Amino acid sequence: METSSVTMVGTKTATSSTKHHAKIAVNRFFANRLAVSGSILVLFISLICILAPVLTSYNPIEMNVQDRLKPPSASHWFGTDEFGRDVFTRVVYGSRISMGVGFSVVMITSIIGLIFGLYSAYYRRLDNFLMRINDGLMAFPAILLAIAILAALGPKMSNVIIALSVVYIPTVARAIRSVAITVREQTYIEAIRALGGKSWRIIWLHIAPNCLSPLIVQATFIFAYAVITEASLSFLGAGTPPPEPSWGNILNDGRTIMKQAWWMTVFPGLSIMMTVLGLNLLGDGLRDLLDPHTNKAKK
Amino acid sequence: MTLLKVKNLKTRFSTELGEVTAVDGVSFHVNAGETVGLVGESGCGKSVTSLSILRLFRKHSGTKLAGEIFFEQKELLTSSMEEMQEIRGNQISMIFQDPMSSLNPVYTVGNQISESLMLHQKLSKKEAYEKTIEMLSLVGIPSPEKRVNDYPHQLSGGMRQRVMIAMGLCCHPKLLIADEPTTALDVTIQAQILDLMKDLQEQLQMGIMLITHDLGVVAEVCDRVLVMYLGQIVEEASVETLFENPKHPYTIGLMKSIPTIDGKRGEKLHVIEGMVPSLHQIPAGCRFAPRCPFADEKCRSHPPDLIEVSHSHKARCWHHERIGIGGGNAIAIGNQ
Amino acid sequence: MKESVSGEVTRLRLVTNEVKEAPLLQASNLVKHFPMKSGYFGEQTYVKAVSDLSLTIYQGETYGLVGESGCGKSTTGRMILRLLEPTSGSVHYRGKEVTRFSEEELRNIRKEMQIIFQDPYSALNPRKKIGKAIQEPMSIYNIGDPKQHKEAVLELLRKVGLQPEHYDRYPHEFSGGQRQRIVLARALAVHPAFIVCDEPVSALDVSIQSQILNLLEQLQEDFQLTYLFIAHDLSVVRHISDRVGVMYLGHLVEEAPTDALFSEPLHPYTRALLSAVPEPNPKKRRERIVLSGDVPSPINLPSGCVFHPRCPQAIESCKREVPILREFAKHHRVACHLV
Repeated sequence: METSSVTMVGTKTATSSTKHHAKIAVNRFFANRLAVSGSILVLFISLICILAPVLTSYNPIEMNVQDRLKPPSASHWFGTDEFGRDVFTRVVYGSRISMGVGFSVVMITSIIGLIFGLYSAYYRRLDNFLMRINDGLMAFPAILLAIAILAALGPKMSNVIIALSVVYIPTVARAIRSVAITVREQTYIEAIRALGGKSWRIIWLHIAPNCLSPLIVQATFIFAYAVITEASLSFLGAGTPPPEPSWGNILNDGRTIMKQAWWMTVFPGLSIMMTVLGLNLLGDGLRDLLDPHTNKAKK
Repeated sequence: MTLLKVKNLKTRFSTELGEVTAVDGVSFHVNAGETVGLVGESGCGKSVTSLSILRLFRKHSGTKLAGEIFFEQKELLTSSMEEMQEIRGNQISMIFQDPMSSLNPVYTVGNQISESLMLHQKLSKKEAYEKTIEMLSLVGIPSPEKRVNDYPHQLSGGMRQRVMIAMGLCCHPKLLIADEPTTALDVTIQAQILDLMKDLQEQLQMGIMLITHDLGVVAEVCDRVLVMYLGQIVEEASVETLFENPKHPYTIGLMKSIPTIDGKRGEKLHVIEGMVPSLHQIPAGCRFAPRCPFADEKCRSHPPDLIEVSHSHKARCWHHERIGIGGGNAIAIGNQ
Repeated sequence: MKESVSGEVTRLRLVTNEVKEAPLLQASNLVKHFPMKSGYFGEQTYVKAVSDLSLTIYQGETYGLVGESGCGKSTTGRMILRLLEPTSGSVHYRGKEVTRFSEEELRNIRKEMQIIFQDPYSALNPRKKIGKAIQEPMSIYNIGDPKQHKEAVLELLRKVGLQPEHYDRYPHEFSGGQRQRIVLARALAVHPAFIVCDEPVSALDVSIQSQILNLLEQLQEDFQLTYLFIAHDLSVVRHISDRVGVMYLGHLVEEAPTDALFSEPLHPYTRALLSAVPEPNPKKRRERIVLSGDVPSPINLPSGCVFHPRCPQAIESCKREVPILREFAKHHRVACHLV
């Protein structure tokens, strides 16, 4: 009932300016600890990606047999691997692959998922068809499906992106569809129909903008899944082929000699954990901020 | 006998834009067997007042209550939550505007009524079941022994509101707080429900606090009326006095702005200019001054008190002597 | 003074219209059945929302359509605009059969036929600024020069009583009454001749209601609009309408000029409905005709006259024969065996 009277008061007669609302949104963001700590982590990792050549002077691929399996020291912060490569350098450059794959997958799944979701929400007939394909794809465990696709296409970074996109498009499409169906039933959509607006206008200028906040939240989670799945695929040898320094590859290299060289598994493992944690926190925070009652002015 | 006495009630919320006082110094009483109407538009604080009486706010919502509320001899604001639980639903019940969201969809209506009977009246399951059927037939539900096993969605809007009333009345409360009980209903059903509430009041001698925005409903069922505007009572009078000789410009404006079923037609409706200000921007003087056709410098700078203008008739207006219907000024109720 | 004169003008115009002009809009034998499946293997049933409804609306008048929730009044309004496809029946607008229009023809006729809604909160896209929302219909139809759109929007804002500085604000910054004004401005952007007002004031506060009702009347005068005014509040309908139709369970049971309907209601349902309206005058408590029971389900309509199970005067033949809408007094049509 009206127990949450805070929304009841003051919103109906809100006359404050848009600037004021932007300020409230910023305040709300900084009051949300999840969102803030998540975005700090993600920002930190993104900086590492960008600044990789500045952070380290070693080459991530070049072997140096004299320095093999050195424990962490002042010259090799994270130690070296069995080919004498600096693990810190490989982890730093590995972040480029992880984040790159994650980002590409997010872009592709968001665009295609948005299109599928919107059109299946708007056209009932198409809906049946698209959603059955969706159900079919979602019936497979993500990693199995990705391995199967990669087995067909061959292990290449671009193929990893394609495989992961195929795996995660249904998730995005489904989320968008459910939001779009709610939006489609709103009176303002009927109003545009009554004004003679064509379907493309209704779909792209009215339904789509109202699906953006859930899409952003969903995209953040997909980013996290993509990072972890890419690492898993590389670890299993189906992903980015060695000697590229993917986090999964480094983990895999260190797997057999974990007892002698703990640093080879601990540091890439921590990196994966930090990235995924950061993205998940950010996603949860964004969901709190954007999803529940985005516009409180609604009754 | 005074059943409920509210003294200088203040309810404050903290919002993202700062603290607001939704109810600001409200005092009134309800006698046994009496129906008191609480009238006003959205945001005037009428619902918040009723929620404050039962202290139905979430613990961490940052709501602050001040003042005194006496129910019989008991002070409600200082009572413990356990004592409040005992009073709610048992001695004071509340019925809400929207019966669908106030009934739990996964339990049958019989279940929900007998639960409160078992909780408050310590009845056995069988006794509670029989009492439930009795209550359902009392509120005029046909074949109650069948309906008792229905789920809320199987009932029509009018039936659901009857179930809500049966639920509110099953423990024979001394005070019933009805928050817009008929607003969601059609007029023919509304007429049935209002008649039902009056009948039950006579039988049970309970006090009713009726919260509504509909002056027609007020005129039909209330004995005494409180008009609220922006968190304050602006006028209080018996129903006859209020409709015959309203003293506050807001009350007069409300009465004039509604079209009636048998007045003159073809004229423009009276309009109260502007809109209710936000609680964040409460006017300095009289709160109604920015919309009042009579406001002068004094009104804009000095807030008036609620003063007695005649026997048991109070108004919060500096110019109440000059204002009224047929008082030789611009405001005169033309429709009656 | 000016207002009452214009009121006279409207009514005069109505009378002359009936003699000289063809009706603006004519709905004939409209039917709407919504299919419904009961259970997985259940048989197909139908919600009979509107049954065999015919009405005529003349240029410049306000036709009020009243009835309780679920009586099919909103469905009728949407069928007239073809926002809902009628199951059968036809709608003629200025002599052209709207129900046979192609998509393209329909899009063009929508410039002339508009709708405003009950809930002003959901009628505006929360992500679109007010100015853009009002301007949108102009870009849909490529009306005028896009550079002049802003000018036109500001003019519309002024017409509906809003300020130019509202142009760049979002819907959540407005109250219900202001939003209804915005919705009106958007509908007026295409210069319509006919507007369906679907419960336009029932979600608004009392003091705001009268502002919007006055605005509707003002705009009707300024733009020569014709309204189909759908509402459940009889006092409001009485105030604004020239003629009123009363609906019950998908049927039009009575139709008459406003004064005739309210002073001499003929159908027992209309009488009960009028008597149930609470009057804001404690001294004038009218004798009330309390109807027993609830409105029956529109899935299984009662046989004969749909009102007979609740009618205090029902006789044997009411259960068997469906009464036809017949003219009893001038322009006063009733569907009842007893009149």
